[in-house]
Amino acid sequence: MQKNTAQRGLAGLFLAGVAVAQDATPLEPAVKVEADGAVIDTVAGIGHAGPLLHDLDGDGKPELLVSDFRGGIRRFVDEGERGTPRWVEKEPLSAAGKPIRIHNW
Amino acid sequence: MPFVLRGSKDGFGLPEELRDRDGGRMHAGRFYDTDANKHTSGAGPGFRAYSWVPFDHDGDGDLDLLVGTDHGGIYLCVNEGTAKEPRFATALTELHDTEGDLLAVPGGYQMPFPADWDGDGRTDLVCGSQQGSVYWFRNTGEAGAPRFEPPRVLVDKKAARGLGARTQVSVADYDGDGDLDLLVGDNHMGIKDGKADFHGFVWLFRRAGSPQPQAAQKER
Repeated sequence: MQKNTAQRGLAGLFLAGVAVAQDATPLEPAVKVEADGAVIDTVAGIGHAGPLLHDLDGDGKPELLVSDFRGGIRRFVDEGERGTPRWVEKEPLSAAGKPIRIHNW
Repeated sequence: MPFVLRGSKDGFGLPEELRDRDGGRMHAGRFYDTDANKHTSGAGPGFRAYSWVPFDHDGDGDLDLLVGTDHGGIYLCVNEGTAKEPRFATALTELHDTEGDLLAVPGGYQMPFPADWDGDGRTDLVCGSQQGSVYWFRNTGEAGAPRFEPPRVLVDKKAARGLGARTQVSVADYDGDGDLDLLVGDNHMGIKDGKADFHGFVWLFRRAGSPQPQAAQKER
């Protein structure tokens, strides 16, 4: 039975205290992704890193795109061997010759 | 609000704001009016939309939009047109999991990422959250009629040392070994020299059992 949207909003807040099923997919411990020998940090973009792997140029190797709170999109290309990405930062993603800035909130 | 940057052989075009079938603004309640240059509240589920994700929900060959919000859930904006001439609905549709609850992660801040996480041929949703944990909505439906189960924890914030809040997820085969890994962006907010200090990192969670990369990087 469907519930009122406002009630669901409150229910959503209380869910934080309710046990949620844990999936059994085993994952390795997390590592921070680096580029050019340093940890990628969107400090200049007011945090809120948003990553995406996508082969923009169609060369068979995905680029790493990382957005930030300011609405910019940093671009990293893989200059490593297959299976061991080594990220090198290039110019940010641009549109019509200018770095993209999406007002995202 | 959703934007599209159309690609061509010359690169991307300037951002274009998507409008609904009647030319109206697309939002989930509160949005930034780029004409008036101010935040504005409009009719909607009452929450701010944080992501608009292309996804063919009804299996009709064109892209609908999944809308992730902050305090609400994940909603659907139906494309009532075609792939070449999209016409988006003027109102968002609530989505519910298989238990009948609003499709949502605990604590909100959902930006869903469609991916077949368990390799069963159905597109699931993987989603970060406000407090940082990453969740998986397993799809047990059919093409054109997805049925998402309640969220399961893929990454427990409490167990992932150093992982921040407001996580955004990308699912891809990071190391080319044939299975899907998780890339998780986060946010850290503190005070430095009396000012707000923000950082955002990208974390790699490789699926266990995969061969270790030669240039493995240790968590710092």
